Amino acid sequence: MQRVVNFLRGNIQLEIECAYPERFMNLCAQNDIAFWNLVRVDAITVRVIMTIQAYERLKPLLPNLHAQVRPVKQAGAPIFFLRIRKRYALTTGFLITLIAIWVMSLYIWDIQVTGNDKIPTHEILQVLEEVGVGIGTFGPGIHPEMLRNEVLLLMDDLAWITVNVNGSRATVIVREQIHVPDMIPEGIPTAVFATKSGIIDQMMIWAGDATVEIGDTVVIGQDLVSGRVESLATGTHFLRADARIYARTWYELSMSMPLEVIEKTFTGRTSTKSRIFFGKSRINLYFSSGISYETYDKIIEESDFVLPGGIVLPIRIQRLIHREYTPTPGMMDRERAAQLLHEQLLAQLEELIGPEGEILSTSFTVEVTPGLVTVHLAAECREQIAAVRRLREDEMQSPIHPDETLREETNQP
Amino acid sequence: MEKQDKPKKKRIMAQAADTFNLPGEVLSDLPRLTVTGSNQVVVENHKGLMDYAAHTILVAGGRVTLKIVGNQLELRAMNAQELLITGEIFQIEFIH
Repeated sequence: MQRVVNFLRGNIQLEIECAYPERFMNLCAQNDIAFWNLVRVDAITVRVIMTIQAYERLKPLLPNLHAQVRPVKQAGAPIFFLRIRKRYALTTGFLITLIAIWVMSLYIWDIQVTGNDKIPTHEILQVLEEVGVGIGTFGPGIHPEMLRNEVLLLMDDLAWITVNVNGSRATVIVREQIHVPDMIPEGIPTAVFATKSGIIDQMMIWAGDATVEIGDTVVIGQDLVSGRVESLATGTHFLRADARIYARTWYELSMSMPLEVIEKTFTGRTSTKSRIFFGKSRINLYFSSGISYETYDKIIEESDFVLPGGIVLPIRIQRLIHREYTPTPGMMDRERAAQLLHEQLLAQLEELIGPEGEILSTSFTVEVTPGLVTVHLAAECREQIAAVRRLREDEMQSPIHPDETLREETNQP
Repeated sequence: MEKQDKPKKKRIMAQAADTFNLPGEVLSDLPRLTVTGSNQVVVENHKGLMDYAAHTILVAGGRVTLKIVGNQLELRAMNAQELLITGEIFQIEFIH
């Protein structure tokens, strides 16, 4: 850092020749003139480096020193500008470049979106473009408060957004909405039902009367815990049933894959086309946009121009590389295909049972027909199947038990 | 007349410093040395450089002259009150 400051201030190396060079050092010290890199050349000569300002202060004191003082070398920013002051074209060009960089750094040339998980980045960028923030937008004109209000009105899935402008780069920070599950208000009677079919393995009932037992087979949608409670003391009353019920469940999944595949055999012929983007404008550095290859892979390489300090220039070079290949029909190895299907079926099963589910056992069978491999998966799992639903009006009025219904019917005249 | 008064004044100052248990360099004309390891020495309250070479530096310290002997000695900083010498210091001698 000190070296940078010294460069900006400009420095000069002096050679002092006198009978007693220590006098020079004492003179500098007494007048608070800083110097560094003191080198003794010989018995009567020393070399020191000091700032231009220090040298200007030293000049009036030199006659008393009876010494020969010679500037040896000058360096630093003031010297550089002094040297080029007569080179008008160079100076003008330098100043224009500086001004151009400064002006360009006021505009947004790079937008980075962070914090989004479910909402695609391009969707956020599109909405930002609609509200006036995009490549080429004047940076100081962006008001995060107003922007937040406008974007949040347009995007329901966003909870919060802000744009931090740093030079020509805008960092968009978003927070997505967390969708809360449908909540049943306190005091509303509920029942617990099965979300999947299976055999009950474990029951943890916090409120309500169980209508099934461990070992019972239940089907999807069947009530497991009732919110209607019969009591000799208080009669029938309704409460908010709640429970966690684990059941063993079974899955049968199948997946097929054709064995015939198209393989790419690259011929080794490639063609490269480049184009330059200035902001949104594009300049093609080629005449014909046609590709002579019938089948090819297209690879896009992009490179930005970034100045030291992170200032992104609105210039981007894009290289389009086309690699020709010949499609060759081939046959995939059966075992390899079966392995791929095996992995995909397991991934599908894990998705079905969710993070809380547990796979107890799996069994795979592979079926091969001409040109096709099919893998069947039979799996036994253990998962939480209880979910809460609101009690219907009829459930809260009419009796549940069949014998109670029968009793009511016999009491009728 | 002035020249005859100076030693007397110094003697009085030294006695005062001794009587009131004050640091010697405060009232009397003495340099204060801070040596860090064998690579750095700071001389405060100096009176200027008398000789400067890569192996020997002589510093005027009022009533005493300091002779710093070493290898690749370098004067890193200097102002009216203090100076900093770095290098491989072998010996510091007080010459009265």
